Amino acid sequence: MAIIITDECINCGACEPECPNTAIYEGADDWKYSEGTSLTGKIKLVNGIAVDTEETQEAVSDEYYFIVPDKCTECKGFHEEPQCAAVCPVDCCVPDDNHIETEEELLAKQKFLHN
Amino acid sequence: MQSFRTEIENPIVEKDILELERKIHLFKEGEIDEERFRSLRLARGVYGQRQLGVQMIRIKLPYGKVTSEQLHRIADVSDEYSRGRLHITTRQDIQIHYVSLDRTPELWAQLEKDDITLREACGNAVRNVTASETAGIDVNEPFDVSPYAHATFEFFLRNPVCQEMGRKFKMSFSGTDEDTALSFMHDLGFIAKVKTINGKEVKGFKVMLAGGLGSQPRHADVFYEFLDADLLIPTIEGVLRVFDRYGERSKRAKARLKFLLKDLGVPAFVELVEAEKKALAYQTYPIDTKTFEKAVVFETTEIPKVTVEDKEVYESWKATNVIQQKQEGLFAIGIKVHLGDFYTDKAHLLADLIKKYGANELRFTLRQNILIRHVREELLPLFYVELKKLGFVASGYNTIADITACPGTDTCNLGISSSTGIAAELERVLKTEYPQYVNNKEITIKISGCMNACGQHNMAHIGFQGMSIKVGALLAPALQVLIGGGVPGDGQGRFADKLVKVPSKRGPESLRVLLNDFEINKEEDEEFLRYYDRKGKTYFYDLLKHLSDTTNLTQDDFIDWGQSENYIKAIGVGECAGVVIDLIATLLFASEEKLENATKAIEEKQWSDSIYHSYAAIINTAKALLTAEGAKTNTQAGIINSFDEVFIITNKIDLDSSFADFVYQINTIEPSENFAKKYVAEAKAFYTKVDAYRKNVVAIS
Repeated sequence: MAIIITDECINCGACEPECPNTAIYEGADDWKYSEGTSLTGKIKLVNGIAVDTEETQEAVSDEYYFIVPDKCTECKGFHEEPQCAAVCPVDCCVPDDNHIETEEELLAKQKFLHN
Repeated sequence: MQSFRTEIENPIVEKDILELERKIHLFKEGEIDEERFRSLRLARGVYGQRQLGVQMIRIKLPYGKVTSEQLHRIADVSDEYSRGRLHITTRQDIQIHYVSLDRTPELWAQLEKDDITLREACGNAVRNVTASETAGIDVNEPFDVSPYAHATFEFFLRNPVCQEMGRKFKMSFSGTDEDTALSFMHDLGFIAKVKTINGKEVKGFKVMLAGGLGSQPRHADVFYEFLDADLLIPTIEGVLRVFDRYGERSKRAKARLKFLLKDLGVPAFVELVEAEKKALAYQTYPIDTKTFEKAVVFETTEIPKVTVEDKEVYESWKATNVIQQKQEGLFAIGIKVHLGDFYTDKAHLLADLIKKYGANELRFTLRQNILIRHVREELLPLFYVELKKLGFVASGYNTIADITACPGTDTCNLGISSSTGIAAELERVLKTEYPQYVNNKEITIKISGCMNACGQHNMAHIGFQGMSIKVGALLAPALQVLIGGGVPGDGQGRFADKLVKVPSKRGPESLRVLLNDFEINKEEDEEFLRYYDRKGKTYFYDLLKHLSDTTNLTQDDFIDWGQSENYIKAIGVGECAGVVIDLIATLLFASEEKLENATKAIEEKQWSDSIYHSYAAIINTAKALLTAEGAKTNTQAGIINSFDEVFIITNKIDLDSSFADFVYQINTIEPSENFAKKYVAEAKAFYTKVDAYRKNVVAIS
C-alpha cells in the first residue's frame, strides 16, 4: 500500500524531508517523477503507464501536503516503518486503501525508482 | 479611555499607539479586513491565544535586560490588564495573557513610560534581538556584546527595510564560543571574536546565516569567520534587503530565510547581498559602546547583617546558582523559574531588591530563568535570605532538572498536546528518582507542544514534542521522543534525532529507560552525547520501541498531563505571519500609503528610508496588477520579472525602460536627496499609469 495524507493534515511539513523517495509535496506544489529518484527521460512506470519524468505534474492536493502514490514505497528498502507516519504529529499519514501493494511490489518499486 | 494620549512624550511612539487604537476601532466597525488588521496588530506585539476574545501580549525586551523600574512597570501592567502572571520566553521576552484587545493601546502607552516597546515583537518583522545572559560579565568573553545587540535592535526598529517581510527574522549575539545564544539556529547569529589586524585589536563577529528550528530544522551556514564590528549593521541591512526581495511570500511554510538559502546556496546569496551594497543607508556604522562601559554603581554601601540558617543548602545553592563575574568581587545570581512563569507580587519585591542592593539590572535568560548581575560578594547571604522568601532559591539553575517548555496547549493555538504538564512531571521524576542528576549541567531536556519548536526540543539532549496518536476511533495525547541534540559551540549545533512516538503518559517512563540505560552502560565519565553517538540511533530506537505499542492503552492514557478530562485535539493556524491579501483594491490602497510614507520621509530628510518606501510602493503596485491577471506573486524578485513579461514586453503598459531597470535603480544609485525625490516622483507616475490601466480594463470588461 502507498501512504496517503488525510484532510486532518495541519500543513506542518514535518513529513516532507523524511521521505526517501521525495514522494511528499506541499499542497498546490507541482512535482516531477525525476525529483529525488534516479529516473530520467521518457519511461514506462511499473504499471505500464508512459510518463516523461522531467515533465511537471499537477498537484494531487491543493490544500494539504500530499504523497505521490507512484513514488511511495512505504519506506520499504530504506526504513523499518513509513517515516512520514512516524513523524506526523497528528497521525494523518495512513495506508491508502486505493493503492494496495504487496511487500514484493513495494520493494520492486523501490528498485525501479533508485536503480 | 483616551487618558494615555497626552502622556506619551515620543511623537513616533505616540503615532504608533494612536494608529493601533484607530485600527482597532476600524476593525470593530468592519472598516478594515481581518487579515490586514491581524498583520498590523502582530507587528505591535498583540497575538491571538487559544481562548477566544482575549490576546496574548509579547513585550519585547532586547537581550532580556530590565531595570527595577521596568520590572515594576511590567508587573503593574500585568496586574492592571492581565492576570498577574509573567511568562519568560526562550527569546528573552515577557508574555502576558488574557488581555482585552480594546485596552492594548493603553497598555502599550503605560509600558512606554519606562521605554518598553511592543513594536515588532510578533509578525513578519525583526524579532527580539537576543544575547547570552552573561554578556558583559562573562570571564571568558572577548568583549560585551550587549551594545551591539542594542544597536541592532534600535537600528531596525521601524526601519522600512523590514516592515513587511515574507516572514519573521531572528538574530542573536553570543558572548563566547560556548554560543549560549545559539547562533546556529538563528537567521543571523553572531559570536564575539577579536582579531589582530595591523597590530591593532579589532572587535568583530563570527556570523552564522539562515539557521532555524521548526518542523524542518536547518543548521546555519558560516557567513563570515570574522566580520568587523563596524560592518555589523550594514551587513544585516543587506541581508534584510535580499530577504525582503527574494523571500517566498505565498507559501508560509517555505518563507523563512533558511528556505531561500537552501534554494540559492551561500555563494549566490552573498552575491545578492553584495549587489545591495550601494543602496545601504551606511557603508560602515561604528557602534558607540560607552554607555555600557560605565562603572557599576550601587545605591548603598550598607551591608545588612543576616543569618543563614541552612548552611549546607546555602553552599549547594552557591555552587549551582551563583556565577563569578569578570568584574572582581562581583557575582551573578541565577534564579531557576519553573517553566518561565512567575507572578507580579514577587516581581515587585525582586525589583526592589536589585534596586537597593544590586546594580539595578537583571536579565531574563534563554532558558526562561532570571539572572541578577553585579552582586557584591559580601551581599550574597543577604540575597539568599531575601530570594528564599520569594521561593527563588531552588538550586539547579541551568541543570537537567531545569526543563524548558513552551506554553503548549495551556494557551497556545498551535499546541497539540501538553508540554508544561509533562515538564512538571519529568521534573518531579528527576527530583524523586534521580537526585544524583539534579545538579547535572551537561544534559538538557526541552519540550515543545508542537513541531514549531518554541521549546527548542529538537536541539536538546533529550527532547519531547507534542503529538496525537490514533487508536481505533479514539485519540490519545502523545510525545515524540528525540535524542542527540546539543550545542558543541563556536557556531556548531546538533539537531536531535526523532526516535519514537509514545503516548504522553509514557513520557516519564521513556526518560527512566534512557537514564537507566545510560547509568548502567556508560563508560566512566562518558558524556551523554558521546554515549549516544557510540551506541547509535537504532540502539535507542530499539530501547524505546516497546513504549510506542498502543494495543495495551488504559483509560488514563487518553487524559493528558495536567488534565482531568479525555484529550481533545484542537489545533488552530499560526498567526506569526500576516496572511496574503490579494484583493486588488486593498493592494492599491496600500501602495498609496507607501507613497505617502516615502513623501514624509523626504520631509524628514531620511533619503534611504524614502527610497525604500518608494520601492515597496512600486512592487506593491505591480503586484496588484499581476494579481488581477492571475499571475504568481511569490517573491518581489518574481514580481519584477513577471511584470516585464506580462505588461512591458507585450506593450500593455509603456515605460521608458524595462520594469526591472526602473525598479533596480534602488541598488545602482546611491541614496541621496536627488535620487529619493526622483524615485518617489517616478513611483507616483507609475502608480497613476497602473491605476488608469486597471480602470480601463474594468470599464471594458
